[in-house]
Amino acid sequence: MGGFFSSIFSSLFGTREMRILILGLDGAGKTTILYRLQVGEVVTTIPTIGFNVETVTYKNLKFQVWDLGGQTSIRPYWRCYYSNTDAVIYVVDSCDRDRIGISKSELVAMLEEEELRKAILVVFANKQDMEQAMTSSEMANSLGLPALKDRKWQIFKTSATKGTGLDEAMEWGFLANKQLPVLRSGTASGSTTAVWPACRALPSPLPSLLRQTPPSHLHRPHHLLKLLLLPGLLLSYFAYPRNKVAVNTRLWLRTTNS
Amino acid sequence: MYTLLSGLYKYMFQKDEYCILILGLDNAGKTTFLEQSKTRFNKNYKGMSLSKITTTVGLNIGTVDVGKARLMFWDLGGQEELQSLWDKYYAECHGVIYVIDSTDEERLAESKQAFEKVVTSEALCGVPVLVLANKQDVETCLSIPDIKTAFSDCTSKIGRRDCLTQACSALTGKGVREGIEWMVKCVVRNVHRPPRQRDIT
Repeated sequence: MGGFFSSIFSSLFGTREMRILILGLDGAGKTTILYRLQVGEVVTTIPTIGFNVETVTYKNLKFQVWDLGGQTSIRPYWRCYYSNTDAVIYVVDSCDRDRIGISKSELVAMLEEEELRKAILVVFANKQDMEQAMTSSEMANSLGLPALKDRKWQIFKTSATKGTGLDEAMEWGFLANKQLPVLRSGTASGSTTAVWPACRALPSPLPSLLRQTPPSHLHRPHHLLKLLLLPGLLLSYFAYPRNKVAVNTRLWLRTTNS
Repeated sequence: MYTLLSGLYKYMFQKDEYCILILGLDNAGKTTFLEQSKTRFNKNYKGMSLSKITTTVGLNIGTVDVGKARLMFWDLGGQEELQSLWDKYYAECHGVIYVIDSTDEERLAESKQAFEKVVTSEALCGVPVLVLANKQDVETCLSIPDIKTAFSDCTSKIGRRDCLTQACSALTGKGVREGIEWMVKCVVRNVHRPPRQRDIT
């Protein structure tokens, strides 16, 4: 009942949260983009092993942005995060012509996933401040984007260090988000996070006061619940007669969940 | 058993799918046209506000059901460097909507060149083309006869295909319905490009 009311309340007053994945090869600038979007500054980053997750608020809309590490060895783990994704930001280094083929094959493999069938694709042609950067049509051709016939896609020329192009991209994502029929609010879905050892390689670039939502809150609640669950079960098991245990556990679970 | 029944259901109720390309120079109003037609034909579709549409660098997709046909629109970016992507879509499309900005007299020649390239392309042989003279809500716009005279040397290149020039305003929605209904009639009639293979199983 409480859940029902809260869902009504959040659908009236809450903001929709869009789940976005930032993917791309290593060194493309994913983490820089994430923190540029969130705090509007260029932070010094180190290669991400694992993921960074932040809530970005843009015009009363919340985006839950996941930035996953892009090194060869950890690319297979991207798929653990695909479920419930509304948009994929695929970051490509515009100067790295040698590895554009790898970038393409990773992208193609990713888009074949059933879980991403409905997700829109946003390609960031990053590092446009460099001189020998590829143009958007060149990028589209070398990534094989014209072969995508059933998916909305868009390329943005960005420069994470200069901050250009990101606003347009967010604006577009914001428009696209309006058409999403599903209302989502509240916390992150916890199930996916458990797959990866939840280590954040990047130390927080700013004091936690400045963040809107500390990232640890996003993927910890279910760990906390598990911790509580065990003693609770044990307690109910010993404190009540056998036949009541099941009922009481269920009741107890219900109250803690809502 | 389930597969059999669902296959039968699909066979009876699935609509023929046709792919329509929306082409034209940048800022002609292609995305606005797409959004407008989506709001016109899909009953409970809440479109994005038309004033907020930005430049397309990529592909927008929209599906519209008209009668027994389902039109799938591919709206491509119109900037000069993106025009090289257009031909990748020619082989699979069933119809082309070419949008012209009637208020932009200076770029009419450029638009004509792009249009010539589209109609002379081998892959688009026999595909119906709808030319939309957009932005007719602006008072100082060129009228249909003006545009027809400007495009008069193209008429010989159009070849054997259905072609219609239609005045429209994507912003107010005038002429959008007529254009799309004409398009549906033509793509259904065109035997050289049968609808997309539907998968019954």
